[in-house]
Amino acid sequence: MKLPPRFSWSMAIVLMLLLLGGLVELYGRTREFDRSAYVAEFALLRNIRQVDAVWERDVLRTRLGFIAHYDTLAEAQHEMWNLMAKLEPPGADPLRADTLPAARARAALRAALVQKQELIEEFKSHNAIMQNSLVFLPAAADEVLQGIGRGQDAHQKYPGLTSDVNRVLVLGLLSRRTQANVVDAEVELASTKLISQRRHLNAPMRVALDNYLLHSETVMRERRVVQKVMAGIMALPTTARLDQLTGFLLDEQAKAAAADEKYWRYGLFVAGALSLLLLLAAAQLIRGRTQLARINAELKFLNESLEARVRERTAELQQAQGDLVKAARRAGMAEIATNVLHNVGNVLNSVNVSAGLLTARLRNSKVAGLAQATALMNDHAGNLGEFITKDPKGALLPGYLRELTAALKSEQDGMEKELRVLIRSVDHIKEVVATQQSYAGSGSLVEPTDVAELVEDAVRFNSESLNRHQVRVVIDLGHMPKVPFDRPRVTQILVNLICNAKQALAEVTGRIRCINLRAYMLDDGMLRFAVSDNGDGIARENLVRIFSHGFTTRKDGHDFGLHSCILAAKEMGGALTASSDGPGLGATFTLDIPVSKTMGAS
Amino acid sequence: MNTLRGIRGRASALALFFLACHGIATAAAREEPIQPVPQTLNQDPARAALGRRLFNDTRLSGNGRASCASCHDLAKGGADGLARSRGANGQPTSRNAPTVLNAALNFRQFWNGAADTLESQVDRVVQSPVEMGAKWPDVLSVLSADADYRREFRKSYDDGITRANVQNAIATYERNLITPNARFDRYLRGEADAISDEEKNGYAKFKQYGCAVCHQGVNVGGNMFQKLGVMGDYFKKRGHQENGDLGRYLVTGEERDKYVFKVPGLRNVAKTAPYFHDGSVQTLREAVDIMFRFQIGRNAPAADRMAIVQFLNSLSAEPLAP
Repeated sequence: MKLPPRFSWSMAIVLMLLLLGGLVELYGRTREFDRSAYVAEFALLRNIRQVDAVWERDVLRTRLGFIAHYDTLAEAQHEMWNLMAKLEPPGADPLRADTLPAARARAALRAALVQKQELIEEFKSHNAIMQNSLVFLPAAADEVLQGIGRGQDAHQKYPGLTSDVNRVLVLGLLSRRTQANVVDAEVELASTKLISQRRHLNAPMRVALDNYLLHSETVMRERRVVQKVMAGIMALPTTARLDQLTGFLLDEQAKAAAADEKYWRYGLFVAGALSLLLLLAAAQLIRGRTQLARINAELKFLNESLEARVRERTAELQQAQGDLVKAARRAGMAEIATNVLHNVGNVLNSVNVSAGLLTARLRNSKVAGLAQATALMNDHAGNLGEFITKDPKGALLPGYLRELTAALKSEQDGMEKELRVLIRSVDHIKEVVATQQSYAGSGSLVEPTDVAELVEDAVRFNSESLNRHQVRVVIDLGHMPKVPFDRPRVTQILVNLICNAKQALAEVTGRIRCINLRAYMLDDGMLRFAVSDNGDGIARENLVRIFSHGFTTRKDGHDFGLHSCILAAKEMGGALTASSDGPGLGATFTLDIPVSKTMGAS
Repeated sequence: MNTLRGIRGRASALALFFLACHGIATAAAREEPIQPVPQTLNQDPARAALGRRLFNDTRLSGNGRASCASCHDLAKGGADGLARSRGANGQPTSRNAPTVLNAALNFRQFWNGAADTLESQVDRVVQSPVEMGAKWPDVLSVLSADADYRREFRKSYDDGITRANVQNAIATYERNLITPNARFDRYLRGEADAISDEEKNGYAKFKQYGCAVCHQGVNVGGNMFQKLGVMGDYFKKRGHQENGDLGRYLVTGEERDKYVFKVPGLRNVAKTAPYFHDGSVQTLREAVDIMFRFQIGRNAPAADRMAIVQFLNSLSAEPLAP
């Protein structure tokens, strides 16, 4: 039955577990590479790049006047910092930030963005001022030119003024397209010329010119600032930082992917080995299974034959048990017979004695003396009076007869007494034999029985002695339907119980001797008979013992009545119990018989 | 065949022309420097209601005498009408209280832009010794003793009463304090008769004189920094100088940020006199004059200035959810 020893299951299992552990480990390592996180970070970086580009684009558009307000720049800034907050998770370890190049790049990106934000603020401020002056410049030029008037006069009065004003205006407005330093130089030249003409002007014109120059100067100055700031903005390495970060991410992903692939390869190998092992184990199991099937078949066969044998043995045992029961029954009957014979023998002894006594008494009876006296009187039949009065012998006769009468009377009394004993003994024998008869029948006979009739029967069996003992019997049955049970046996038990009660009442004086008989159905399908008396009662310690074989408290009690009663009750599946409140307080015997059960048994 | 193609070519050219016109028209509409206030910033109502209670609760101050509403009284246009606001202890602070109305539309908070967010603004004001003069642990323990607050915070925030949540609740309420239905906004949204001709004229002047170069966007300002005194020395004219006049310099320490302030939004400006960071100017007219002189560097007839003041009056409205 043993599996071939060359396949060791424990070894295989250990190996399998090792392989499985390796597989799980490898799987865990591949899981560490979270693609979704990479994708999310890629998306975030791309988003930042976009917002950065939009930010820069909006700076240009604002500069070119396509956007008339700065809300878009403020919005881009706001969005940028929201995105950066996502890129830089809160509570990131600053120490780690120094060690990781990606974190360093992030910090550099943030620094560049902070710088960008500051530059854009500068741009906004200066661009606004520049725009203001730039828009005003033509009007300011007009104010100056209106003051000096048009035409040849003005040209002669303020030589070159108009052209210088216009030159400054044109340069101010159009200098975007030319080189800054050249423009600056030209504007400065024109401005210097204008200032040199200032002293020729009247007061309002001076104010206008000063204002014009102030604004043109503002335009030039702010434009330089704006251009420088814009160059600064465009030069900020935000894109480079973003590229760097993306590069790190790509590197990391590539490395992770490579590691991933490696682990997958290992995993494949390990999984292959594991499958092989499992295949081997499966093959082993299949082989084991066929063997097992064979063993099972054998076992089944054995089992079946065993069952047959068990059946045989059971039948034998049942037979034996039946025999035993019969034997026991016979033995029980023998025991009862022994009891009966023993008891009958005992009683027969007293019958014998009584008979002997009576015989002796009869043999020695004084009746012979009466015969002699009668013969004497017959001899003197003629002169009986003379004989009695004169003859001395005759004179003794009346005295003799008197004495004889007394003697015969006492003799009669003695014999009568002895005869009563004899009759009682015979009664006893009758009882014993009747009891024996109740056991002589084999098995029980369950028949629908009128309870009232049964109780009356039981009382009638005892009626003679009950009358003799002046016992009043009260029967309380109520309405009872016919119920099926073993009538003879129950009758026998009741007869016994009534007899028992009667005996318990035998020595009662001073109160009416009473037996109370009740019968009623219990809820659980039991029929209950209760036989109560107001007799001697039973001591507590005897309540159980009274049912044991050979127990009696009576001088003349035969000693198996209650014992046979309880046996009979149990045999019917019922119970017999005694209860008493104590000596002198009467006793109640309760017989419970299963009615329906008895039915079922039949 | 040729004719057909010609016609088709011409038709598509025409379509292109119309498309272009349409594009230009849309672009032109977008080019308006002032934009209407959105109807809502979509804030959580429960948090806003909680923020409203906190906004009006004096227990947020160190001595229990001042609430946010003390200096930002909605009945006074979201400010307090004082030149310098008074802190919880009654001492004057260094600057004029800006209105809380539409503060959510500012790109930064405070005159010098020290706070990025409304939350951070709350944080600073509550702790400032000359303003509310409180300490967060005290504030939080006082609020935690209030069963109502405990219940309301638990409803709105997973972690209940915390410094960040108190700030967020107040900021959420403040984000509801926008005024989208000023007459001028209705005008911008297409109601041509929502403002008078004088006011329309004033708006034209406002743009023409370059006011809208800085005072632009949704909040008519509030989205950039600018130096006070671009075209002249304002502080020299005013006569003396204080620490608060340094403006953003106090935040950045950069020389170029001296006298630089956040350009204030002009919404509800008619209701929030006195003006400027120092509250030194009582009327809009004076404020407009000062702007003309030191910021724009131009002269303008009195009528134009008055028109601009009239235009500014069309920017007032009540908040939707006070």
